[in-house]
Parts: sequence; structure tokens; C-alpha cells
Amino acid sequence: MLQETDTRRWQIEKKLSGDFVFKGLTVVFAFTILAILLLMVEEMHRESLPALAKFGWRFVTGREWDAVQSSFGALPFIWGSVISSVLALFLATPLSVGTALFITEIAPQRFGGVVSALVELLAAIPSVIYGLWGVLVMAPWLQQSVEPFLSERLGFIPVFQGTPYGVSMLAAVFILMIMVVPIITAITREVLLTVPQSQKEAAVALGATRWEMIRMTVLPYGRSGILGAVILGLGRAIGETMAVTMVIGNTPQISLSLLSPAYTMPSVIANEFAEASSKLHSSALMEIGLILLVVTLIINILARLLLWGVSRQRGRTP
Amino acid sequence: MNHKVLLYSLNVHFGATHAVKGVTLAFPENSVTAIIGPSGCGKSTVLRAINRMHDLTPGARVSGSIALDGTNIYANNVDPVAIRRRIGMVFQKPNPFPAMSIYDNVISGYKLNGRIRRDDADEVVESSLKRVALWDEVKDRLRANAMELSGGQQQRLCIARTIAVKPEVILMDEPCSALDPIATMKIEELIEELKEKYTIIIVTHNMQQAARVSDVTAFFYLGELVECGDTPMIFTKPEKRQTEDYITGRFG
Amino acid sequence: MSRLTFRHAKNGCMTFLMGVFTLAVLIPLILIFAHIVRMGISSISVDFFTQIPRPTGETGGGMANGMVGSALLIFLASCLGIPVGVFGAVYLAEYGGSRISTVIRFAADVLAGVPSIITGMVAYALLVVPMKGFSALAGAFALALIMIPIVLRTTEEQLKLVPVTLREASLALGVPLWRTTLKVTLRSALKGVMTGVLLAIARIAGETAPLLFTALGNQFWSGKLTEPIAAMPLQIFNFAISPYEDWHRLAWAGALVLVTVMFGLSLAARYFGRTKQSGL
Repeated sequence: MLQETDTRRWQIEKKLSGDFVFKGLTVVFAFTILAILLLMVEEMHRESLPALAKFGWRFVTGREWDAVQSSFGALPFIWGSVISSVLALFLATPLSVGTALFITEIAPQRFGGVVSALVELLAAIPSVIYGLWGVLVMAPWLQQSVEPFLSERLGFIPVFQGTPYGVSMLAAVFILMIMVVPIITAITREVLLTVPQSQKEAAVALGATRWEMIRMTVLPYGRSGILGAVILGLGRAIGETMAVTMVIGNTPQISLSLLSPAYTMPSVIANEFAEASSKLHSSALMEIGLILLVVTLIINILARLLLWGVSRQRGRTP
Repeated sequence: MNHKVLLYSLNVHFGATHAVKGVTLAFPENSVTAIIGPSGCGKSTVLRAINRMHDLTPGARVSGSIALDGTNIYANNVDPVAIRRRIGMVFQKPNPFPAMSIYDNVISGYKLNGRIRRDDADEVVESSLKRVALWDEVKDRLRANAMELSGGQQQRLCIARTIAVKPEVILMDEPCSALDPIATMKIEELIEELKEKYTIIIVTHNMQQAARVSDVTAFFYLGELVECGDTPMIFTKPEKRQTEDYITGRFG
Repeated sequence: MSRLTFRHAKNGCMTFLMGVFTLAVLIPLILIFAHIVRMGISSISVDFFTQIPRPTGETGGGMANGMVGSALLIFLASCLGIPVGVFGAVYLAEYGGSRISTVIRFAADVLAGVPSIITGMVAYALLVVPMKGFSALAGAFALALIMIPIVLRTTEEQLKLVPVTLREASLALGVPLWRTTLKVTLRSALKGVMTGVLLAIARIAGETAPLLFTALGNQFWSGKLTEPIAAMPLQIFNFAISPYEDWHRLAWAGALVLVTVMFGLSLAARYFGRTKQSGL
């Protein structure tokens, strides 16, 4: 061994190096990521071509979804996805930002740490388990207590009209809210931690109360990051499949009432794709998938751009 | 005396910064050459050029040539890895491998490159540690983690690790700057002994250290070589005004 | 009321409100968790771990095939997802130029946000259709696609934490860069990499949507990787939406097992991870 080293020391001719091979390997793997993303878009597009050709723009405006008649319009699903996600976000945003502020600015450090660890653990619970709870516990509760109350007392508003089914748009909104709150809270918390102590101290030194300090420095400083967190939550909500499928009632209709069952884009894919009755049926489902993919890509790109801005402010490489 | 390493109009750029400017300098064999100068004068940059450590720095460009025994190490057909086996390096802060024992650190040059026979390993560990006068201090705990050693011991371990792979030249980048005076003294004694077998090039910001350990001293300022000569001459009768100002402490 | 009193009152109100919001967030989550534990413990039995589901109408049975199936799917997904994620991260941290690395990093972040049901559809188009059948392999492929960005981003962050001096020490000993990367850099980051891998496994262990039309599910034991295979999340889903009380009990027991496994993985990840994971 040692003598071998002695002779090797004089070999300074270059060999085909392990470095070249190893680097090549890592290049291939790294570019796999890009390839996967492009492949996804390409595959989804290719598979939806028959539906795209047959229906064109009528696909997104059509209200009828009938596999037997081979007539496919996706509007009820788009409607269901948009309404459920937007309402869920509308409820979840103040709760999440309030909780994140509570953790970072108000609670004693130890307690805040416990709350945030709890929130992070709960963010990891799989959606099928939220769905299980939603369909077996929450939906019956909604049907027996909440929805009758709403339709009796507030029934004059169209939004609360109708028979209480339990499984409904309202159930989907609640379950989505419960699911995205931990995600938005966790990211907002990280954003708020980047607010420089010096800025907060400056506000306090001017005689601001804690709330004024939050209003004057913390929220303006974290604005784009919080927006990023909310948009990321929107992406999760729109793409959420299992829990929504289990509680929304899976009825392709456009109803103003939160009490009636509805349907979303991921849910119809989950329910029908494995047993699609015809080539056109599965292609129509692929096109719904393509719409979903494009929408979530745009949402995620937007959210990441906002959040990367924050991590750059923090002086960390993105 | 033979010239072991010869720099010929060496330039190093980092992006738009011209860090080393046209340096031509010879390092005699089996002697200690000190490179001194104020911080930012490019002395570490020169040192790192000698074992091609800049190869991995994005944006770094080296031009001119560096000859080791007459062969240009920046020639196209030269493998930088082979060069680094012949030209070892000791760093400013002791950097033993934290996940390895003392024993494994000494033979890390072999282990990381493949396998080493057990008998050979024992022999290399003992002789290398004896050379750096660490053997008696650690022989009973060779399997202990290297991070348990004191800073001075860690630095001697790093030197042992370097000489274990039998280099011809050892580069030292301010090897004592993180050490206390007693540990520094031990390293300096060690350098004195090592020069019998190796050509040593040491960068230091400590002029007393340069005066104590080196045979030849080179003074750098703003990326240029100002003056180079026998150490006693440089410290007693420097030719250039800048050198005199620096060693008498008027700047830097 | 003076201006100052008003400001203090407002401060008090807002502080109170944020406390209320926090409770509003925590209470449903804790309720869900408590319910899973209560229902799960009362439903779980030895049979649950040793039996496969009984036909409709019969009571008893368990999820043994689902647990084994999930373990197998996770193992297969890891075989593909971990190398791609880890070595992709090595490229980003050690070789990549800044622009191309940024693009790949961005792609990984965006990929992590793609709904998992889409991943399932892509796996269907790429594997199920050409192989003419639902299979464990297709399920594992879909899960691997979900795993890759998570492993990549956490590994890259960990590699960046390894001090440059260690890499230099190894390089200066005449060790080639690739061996340095494998034996020094990756070795030093091993704990952090493990954290990322555990988090990724925790994530895919509960994924249901991507398996719906890849692994499909199976009432029985499956013998080949080219056949449909049972998985716990799929079984929980099917049992939950069934009308049978007995199957609901199995679903709760399954949920408890799944949540326990995930919390275990999460705790293990925390143990390995000296640095906290960033969601940014």
C-alpha cells in the first residue's frame, strides 16, 4: 500500500476521473426534477387532447356532466373548488395570522414553542384522517345542530337555504379551514420571525402599545410573506382531495346554498377516474386535472416568489 | 539549493478583483519560506494557488505557472488531485474530521481514498504521531474522538494527517493563529524538525514567528511581491522602504 | 375616555382576540386528535394487525395486508425518491451554477405544491396504461414523485451547513472531490439528511389520492409488484365511506395506527434534526 502510494505520487497524468462520472450522476438527478415538472404538464396535456378537441371552451362553461351521454362540462367542479377554497381561506387567514402573532409576539417563549410544535404536528396528519373525522363526526353534527339552526334562523338568506344534508359545501369549507390553518400558521410564524428586533424596538421606543407595534412594524414588514403563506394555503385547499371528497356530498350542481352538496375538481377525479366509462370520459377527467395543475402551478409560483423574497431579506440563500 | 516550487508571473483573479498580481517567486527545497504582509495582501491566495485549491472556488481564475520539480501543475494534463497528494496543506483553524477518531484522522488520507491494510495503518499512525510529538499524549486513546483534543493537539493532529500521506511540500496557512502561546511554540519546534524532510511554505501575520521559523521570507503588499530574501536580511536590512515600514510596525 | 386609555383598551382587545383565535385553531385540532385516540383505542385488537379485511357483512378482520402494502410502497418509493433527492441536492449544493440551481430549486418547491392527485394521474398515464394494469410499482412511483422535492430541499439545506474547512481538509489530502462529497460532506450531513428522509416518509405514509388509480387497493394479499396492492390510507378511505359500523371501527383503528407512526417518525426526525426544518 505504502509503496504503491510512492509510485502513484508521480502519476500526474489525468485519468478519466470519478469526478466526471459522479458529477454527471448528480446532474442527471438534479435535472430529473425539472424533467418531472415538464413531463407532468406534457402528459396531462396529451391525455386531455381528445376532450380539448371535442369540447373546446364549452368544457369550462358547460354545466352538464353525464358519462352516459358523453357530455362533459366542468363548471360545477370549478365552482365547487373555487367557492370551497376561497371561503375556507377567508375563514382560515385571520385565525392563522392571529395564531402566528400570538405565538411570536404575545405568548411567553416556552408556551409559544409548545403551541407552534403542536400546530406543526397537526399539519402532518394525513388528509384521509381529517376526512374520516369529517364524515363520521363533523358532518352528522352539522346535520343535526348547525345546519337546521342556520336554515331556520337565517333561511331568508339564499346562502343558508335548503335541507340539512350534513355532507355539504359547508362541511367542505370547515374541513378545508381546519386543514389549511396549521400550514398557514406555520409559514406565517416563520415569516414573522424575520422581522428585525430593532424595528420592533423602534416602535416601542416611540411609545407604541404592543398592538400598535404589531400594526406599525410587524404586519407591514411581513406583508408579502404572509400573503405568500395564504396563497400557498390556497394552493393546498384547491388541490385537497380526500377530505373534501368524503364530506362535500359529490353532487355536480351549482347552488348558492352552503347547505347543499357540491363537487370539486379533485373529488370528481378521485371518484370517477379509476372507473372511467369511455376514452372521452377519462380524457375529460384528465382535462380537469390539467386545469387543476395549471391553476396550482400558477398559485405556487406566485406564493414561492413572495416567500423567496422574505428569505432573501433574511440574508439566507433561497 | 534546489528550487522545489517556482511561481512564474502568477495572477489570481476573483471575478473582477485582481488578488495576486504577476508574482514570480522560488521556494527552496528542505527549507521554510515565510510569506508575510498585511491582511488582504494576497498571501493566503498565493498559498492556495500552490495546491490548486482555487479550482473549486467559483469565479476564481489562475494564470501564469507554478512549477513543482520543473513540471507546471497548471498544465492541462495534470490532475489536481495528484498534485494535492504531493503538496499537503495545514489550515488556519484546526479542522480534524469530527466524525472520526484520532486514529482514523491520521489515516484519513488513505481511508477516504480507499482501503489501507491494518498493519500499514498502525505503522503510519504511530510514525506520523511521533513525528508531530503527539504520540505520547494520545497513544492510550487513539480511538477517542478527535474533537476531544485541545486546539494545539488538534492542529498537530492535522499536521500528522498531512504528513501521513507523505507529501513533498507542506503549505501552512497561519497554522498558529487560533492557538495559545505554548501550543504555538510546539508547532514552531515541529516546523523546524519537519523541514529536514519537507519543503515548507508558511503564511503568517506574525513577524516574530516568521523571523523565528523561516529561512527565507517573502513580503507581499496589495497582491504584489515586494521583496524576498534570506530571513535575517529581510528583518535587518530590507531593501525596500515598504518592507521596512511593515516590519518596524509603521503600518499593517 | 382619554386617548391613552383608548389605545390601551384597543391593545387589550386585540391581544384577547389573538388568544381567542389561537384557541379556535387548537380546539378543533385537539378534538380531532382526541377522537382518533378514543375511537382507535376502543377499536384496536390483535386481529387488526394479523387479519385481512372480511367480506361485507361479516364482523372482525384487520388491516394486515394494508400495513404490509404501505410498508412495501414506502420502501419502493424510497428506493427511487431518496437517491434522486439526495444526489440532486448534491448537485445544487456542490456543483450547480447559481442560475441553474435557482431554477431547479424553484421547480422543486413548485413540484412540492402540485396536488398529489395529479401525481397519481401522471403515474397512471406513465405506468398503468403501458403496463396494462394497476400495480404496486405505479403506486410507489407516484409516492416517489412526492418524496423527491422534500428530500432534495432538506438535504441541500443540510449540505450547506457543512463547514467549507472540512471539505478543504479532505481535498488537501489529495482526495478527489467526489469522494470528499460522499465520505466527508454527505457523511457530516447524515443526520440532517435522515431528518429530511423521515419527514418525506411521514408525508407519503398517509397519502391516499395518488394511490387511488395506481396501487388501487386490494382486499387480499398481493403476490406481485405488478398487481394492485392494499395500502392503509386507501383502506381507511374505503371503510370510512362505507355504511358499516364495523368497518368504521377498522377505519378508526387504522387512523390511530397511522397517526402514531407519523408522530413517531416526526419525533425521530426531530431527534436527528439539530436544526429546525424551514417551511419557507
